[in-house]
Amino acid sequence: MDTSANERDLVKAAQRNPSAFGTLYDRYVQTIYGFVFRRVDGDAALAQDLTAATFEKALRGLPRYRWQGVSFGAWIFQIARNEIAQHYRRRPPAPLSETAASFSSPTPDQAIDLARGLARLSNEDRELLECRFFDDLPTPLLAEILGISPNALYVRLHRALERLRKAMEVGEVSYAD
Amino acid sequence: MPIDPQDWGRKLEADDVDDAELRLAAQLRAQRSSSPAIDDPFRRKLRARLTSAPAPRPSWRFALIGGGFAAAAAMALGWLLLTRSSDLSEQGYPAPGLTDALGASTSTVQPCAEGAAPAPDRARVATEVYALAQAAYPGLEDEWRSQREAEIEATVQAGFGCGRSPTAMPLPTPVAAPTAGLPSGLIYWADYNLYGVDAEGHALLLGSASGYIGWLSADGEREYFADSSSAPVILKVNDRRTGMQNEIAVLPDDLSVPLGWWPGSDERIALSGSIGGAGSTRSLGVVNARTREISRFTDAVPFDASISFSPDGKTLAYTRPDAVIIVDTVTGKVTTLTVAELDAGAQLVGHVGWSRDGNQIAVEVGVRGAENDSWRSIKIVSMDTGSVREVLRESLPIYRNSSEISWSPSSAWLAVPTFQALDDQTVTPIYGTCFAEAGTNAASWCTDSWLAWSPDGTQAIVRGPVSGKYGLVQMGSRETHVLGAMPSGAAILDWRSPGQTLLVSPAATLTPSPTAIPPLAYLWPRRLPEGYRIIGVSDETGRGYRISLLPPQQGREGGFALINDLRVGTAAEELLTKGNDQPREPLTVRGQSGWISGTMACWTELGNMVCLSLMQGDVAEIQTLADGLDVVDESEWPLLRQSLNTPTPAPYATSTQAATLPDLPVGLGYALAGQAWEVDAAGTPQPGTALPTGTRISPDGR
Repeated sequence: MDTSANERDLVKAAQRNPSAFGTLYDRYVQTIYGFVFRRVDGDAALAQDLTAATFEKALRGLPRYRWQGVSFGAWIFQIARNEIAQHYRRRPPAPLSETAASFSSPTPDQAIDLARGLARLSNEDRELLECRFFDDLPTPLLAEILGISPNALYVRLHRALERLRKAMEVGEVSYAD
Repeated sequence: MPIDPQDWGRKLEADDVDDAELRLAAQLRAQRSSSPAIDDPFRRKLRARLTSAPAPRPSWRFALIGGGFAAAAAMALGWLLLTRSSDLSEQGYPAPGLTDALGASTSTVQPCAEGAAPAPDRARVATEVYALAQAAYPGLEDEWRSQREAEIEATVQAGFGCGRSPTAMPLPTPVAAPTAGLPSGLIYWADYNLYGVDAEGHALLLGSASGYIGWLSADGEREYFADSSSAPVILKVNDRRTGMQNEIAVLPDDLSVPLGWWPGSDERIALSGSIGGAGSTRSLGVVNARTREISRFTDAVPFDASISFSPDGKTLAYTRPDAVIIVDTVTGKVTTLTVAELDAGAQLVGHVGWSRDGNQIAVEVGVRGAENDSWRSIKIVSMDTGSVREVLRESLPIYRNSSEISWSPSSAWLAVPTFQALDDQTVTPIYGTCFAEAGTNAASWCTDSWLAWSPDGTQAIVRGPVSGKYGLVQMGSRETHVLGAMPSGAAILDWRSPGQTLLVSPAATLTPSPTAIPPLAYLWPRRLPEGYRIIGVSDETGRGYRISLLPPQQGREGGFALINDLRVGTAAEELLTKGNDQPREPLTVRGQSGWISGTMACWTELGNMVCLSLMQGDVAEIQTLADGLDVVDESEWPLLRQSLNTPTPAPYATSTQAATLPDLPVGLGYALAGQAWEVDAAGTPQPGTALPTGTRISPDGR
């Protein structure tokens, strides 16, 4: 997903004519759907609803969208995050499982360790690691979504991984320092 | 152990397992399951629905005028008037106030079908319009122009229709300057700049913070920014009186989100932990911008709680799904209002909002039922008696919490977001606002999205949820008229009474458009130490800079007068640059506040700003911002001392030369290269104590 002039042109075209929104839709719909899907416990129907709401809000907000240092990709991910947060305000999710059921690892022990470690992290750390490694969001895009520099993102990733490692090694994680 | 983020990031991207964390990252990557594929029929259906939606409508219009093209101009103007007066309220959204005020007629310019218009002709027309618009409006910048491309094209269509080629171009004229006609006292952000609207409706740039979002204190003297590019987050405060920016705190992880200036305080900033996932809680706390002390008073606020502070800042209320919790931040006393106490039939608590008089709270409660079987109610709870009254009840097709409850400054009205109307796809609600009168049982009424109250609470600014157009609603009569002058994407922060903050008229040389303010205006502190305000810095090529000043007291009552333009020679350019590059430390010279920045110390003498350039304990040169006197060396001091003996009756208004410059002031203290200096009785700087790195001098100089 680039943030090139080409995409900027696509946004401008869609601002004038909604039929041009299709190209942006095609570019992002699968990624957004996957992003949402992982956050609603694999509920496909719900993921479809939230994906639809994300793109409809993006389309409605498009006339007011301005390319001010935040790419369209980062912007639409922010909308998706908001939609997910809105959903969970209405209906809290089940507690995180510490089993490896949702992982596809060929080595179950390792998967269980990771699942347990992730469940012990703060929500911020967990989301950060999921976005980067499970959703495979590129660093520049994720940094844009979070509104921080890539270097700051690396620092946060490093710290989150450090805490994950400690959570896996000693069974607990400290956020005191 | 600290890492080099760039180096570590390079290894991460290259999947290089160089340390334990990188190995863990590789393990996580390996766990990644394949991305779930979206259901294809759904994907196609959603695409069709999105791409057949009505065209987004532009928010800015150009009128077309021209004697030889009256018909085209009439068409365009007719269209213009229709759209300006009608599309604040969106299609399908019931907005009684707006409908009453504006009538029900609507007009939409449809895009030309592909191929309907000869593309080269339309492109030529658009190009010519750009050129003419640029000539008519010198402040037009590339980006502004590109944003308006759609409007210009729509105007061309309105004038000539699809597929018709004009033989000549009428002259376009902006309907209004882009920032004119806004209510005085409005404060808003746009494009990371902070603007205030003066008494004449002109928006003026008050400050800039690229990449950051900042907030003004209630007295308008300070603004803070949270620098989230650092980890942990650093909180910075700009003192608008002195032009200083201070890093006041490194925020702990669990209090890393500033919520706003603490009510009733110009030095305390409320903090929160970041919002986590469901089931988690977060902390609330406060940082004192003066003492830098950070306090935490609870860590049990639900992640999605609604939080509202009492106006005096002593009490806060926040929500749990089943109750409202009221915390006395002074005594720690906690009071719980359960949902059953608020409404026996309700199941959920939504939002809470404290009235501006501090006597009441409004609480949203409701029931999430099956489709078309949900409802919510807004209750007002008296903090004196505990009585509960209902002021609004509505059935909802789908239950949603409001995003906030806002009380008018007079505490007479409540604004509550509503989602009554759904679009034809019944997926995305059209957002609006219901207004309820707090003191009566009068029926509530609904209109477009509320944004801000006027200072007296008799008016509110609303925005059409789709068009983005802004309207001004009279709360008593419900009449609305369209405000056509807000920049696209602007965020309204506040609407203040005249005199509450820096609101001044633009200098004659400045176009009343934020895009036309010279870049140097960004570099200069907005206020001189003694209270004079710099309201414009314009580059007069080859002749230095023109600085427009506003005297103290002016602008406090809403009447503004520009009384002095000082021309500054090239030597002052250096001062301008230096003054911006380095942090300013406060300084007191003979009772006058001033600052020291790098090798420059500045204060005021009889209305002139005097700056000394200091070099290792010696005075190298003296600069003043007086007309015709750019650099003064020591040989000219006697002349200046002589002029000091000639009092100037109205120094600011008439000064054309430095009115004063005595010997170096006795007792002047400053820091330079880690060394403290103090001017002795003979006017000679003497070295004092060595200062540790990072030393800051207090405002009183002690």
